Amino acid sequence: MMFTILGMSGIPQIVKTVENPFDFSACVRPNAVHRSVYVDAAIFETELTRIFERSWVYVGHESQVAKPGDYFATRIGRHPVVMVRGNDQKIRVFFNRCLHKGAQLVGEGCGTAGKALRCGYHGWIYDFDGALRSVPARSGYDGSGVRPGAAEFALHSVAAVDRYRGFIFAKVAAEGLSLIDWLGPLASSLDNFVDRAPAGEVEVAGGVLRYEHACNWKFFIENTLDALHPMVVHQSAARSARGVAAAQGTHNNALPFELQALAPFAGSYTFYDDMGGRVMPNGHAELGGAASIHSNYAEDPDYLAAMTAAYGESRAREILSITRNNSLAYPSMMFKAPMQLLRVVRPLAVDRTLIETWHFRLKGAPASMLARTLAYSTLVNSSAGMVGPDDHQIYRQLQSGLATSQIEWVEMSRYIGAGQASMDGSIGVKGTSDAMFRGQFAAWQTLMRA
Amino acid sequence: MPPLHEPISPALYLALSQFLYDEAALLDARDWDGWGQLFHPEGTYWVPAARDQTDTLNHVSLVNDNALLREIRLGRLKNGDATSLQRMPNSSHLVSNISVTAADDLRGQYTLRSCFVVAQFANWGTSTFHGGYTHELLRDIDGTLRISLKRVDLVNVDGPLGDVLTIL
Repeated sequence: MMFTILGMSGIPQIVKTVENPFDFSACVRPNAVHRSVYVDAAIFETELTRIFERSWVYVGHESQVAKPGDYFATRIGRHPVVMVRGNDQKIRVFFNRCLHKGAQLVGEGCGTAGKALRCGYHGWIYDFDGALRSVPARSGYDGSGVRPGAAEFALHSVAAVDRYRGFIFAKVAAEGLSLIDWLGPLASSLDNFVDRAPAGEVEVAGGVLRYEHACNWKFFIENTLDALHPMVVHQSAARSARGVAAAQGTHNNALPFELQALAPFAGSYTFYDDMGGRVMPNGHAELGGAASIHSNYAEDPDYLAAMTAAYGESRAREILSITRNNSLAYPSMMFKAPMQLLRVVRPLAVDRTLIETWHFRLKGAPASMLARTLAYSTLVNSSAGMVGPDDHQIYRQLQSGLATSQIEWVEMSRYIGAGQASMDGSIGVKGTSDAMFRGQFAAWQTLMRA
Repeated sequence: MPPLHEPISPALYLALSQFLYDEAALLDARDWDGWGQLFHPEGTYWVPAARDQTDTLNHVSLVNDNALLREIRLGRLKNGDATSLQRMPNSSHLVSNISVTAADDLRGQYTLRSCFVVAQFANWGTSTFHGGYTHELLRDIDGTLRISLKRVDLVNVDGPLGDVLTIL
């Protein structure tokens, strides 16, 4: 496979094969990134190996596999994987591939296996811990290595599985940081996600949205932290909502939730700058803090009462005062702690990406909280919604605009050099800072090294 | 509403079917206000996000528009500055297999099931949506039929979906 890339000298160089130990550093400059990272199919293939195998990738939530035999099948990069709870209650993540002829064992999505995982082709049966339990017509394998319990024919596990507050992450490659070290300061935002449950636990609820995007995966994750686009891209929805709100003539808190949710999309540059953000090691970043597009929603008195009863008033207030727009666990998980939802990016091709939106119930909270999460997602994340399709249109334009090789670099210099270093290793930045993108590409550069 | 025990009159069947055809024609003509006016003030335009979805409070939807959200959605279609609607979607709504599954002439309430094929040309190409409609209709005091519920069940609702830019 041949592809070209602009070398350090500024002269396009030919790189012979993807397998070549090529250093992709030349694609990233301190204030710009080369267009090839979004449009080059060979770079995309390399990302699947170097980014998606070397990172902790969010697989699912423990509540999706509540009982032994429950499974959830998805993908990590190009690998089909299945997360399954064992009879020992341990959650394992296997490559979703039979050791016989290689058929995918279970279809994507959630399911429950009765007593074992059975391949639908020749009926090989595996225990939930991956051990080969039986093969039909076994005597034909006498003298070979194929026998129940043979380590060689057990399901292959990914290199590492770990969880944080119920969120299960897996890593295909063995080397690298532990999950907690990799998350770093971002863990505090997952804490905030879960601490918002009066009972201190969340569970997947309310179904999933699967939205196919005709664009590179990186446009989506960058855009979730891009505070310079809402007032342009979403002006239509926000203007329409504000018009309807003005006609109602009531105070914000008395407006229907949907109007409260849509109006901030047309917030000013100052509003977005002032909400701030954090840039963290390993590509993680987040937009919003004490202020965000979610910070001015009317309070639900029943929820507030449940939180106060669980935590005491000052701790409850402290938890609810952190309202981040979006938190990115690089490369593929974006969560909205104050809205109890998260989105997962699944790269399919250089210009094709599947976005899944998962919703969560706060245990111990009134049912109105889940209803609010779902109303928000219907409005914003649905492929028939009033926000997501406008973003998608821009991603298409990025994908086609960057097709020209006549202009090589994509700009990302806003507020370069500015930021406030924090004790936890994060850097506080203005909400509209490109530092969030620079941080992603710094991680990209590190991971893409051979 | 009582289920249907005997066939309804051909005249009523024709009138109810014509209502669906008229609705389709309004959408294809991009007469957004005209389409909005078909709804009862309490009416809902609902596209569930799962097969056999029973409610909108415990499960996410693709669309769940009450009068307020319908107004915002139609406002977006009309104000012309939505990024994804720079080229206003063109559509063709085909409605067929219409059956009246419940009818109460006294109250003026009718439930219709039908199949649809909607072709949407928007932005970069044509997408086709297939599925079933459920229309719950209510006759006004002045005799006009109004939609109290339009439910759209997409056949591929459980799979990944692309943009739905028009009204189904």
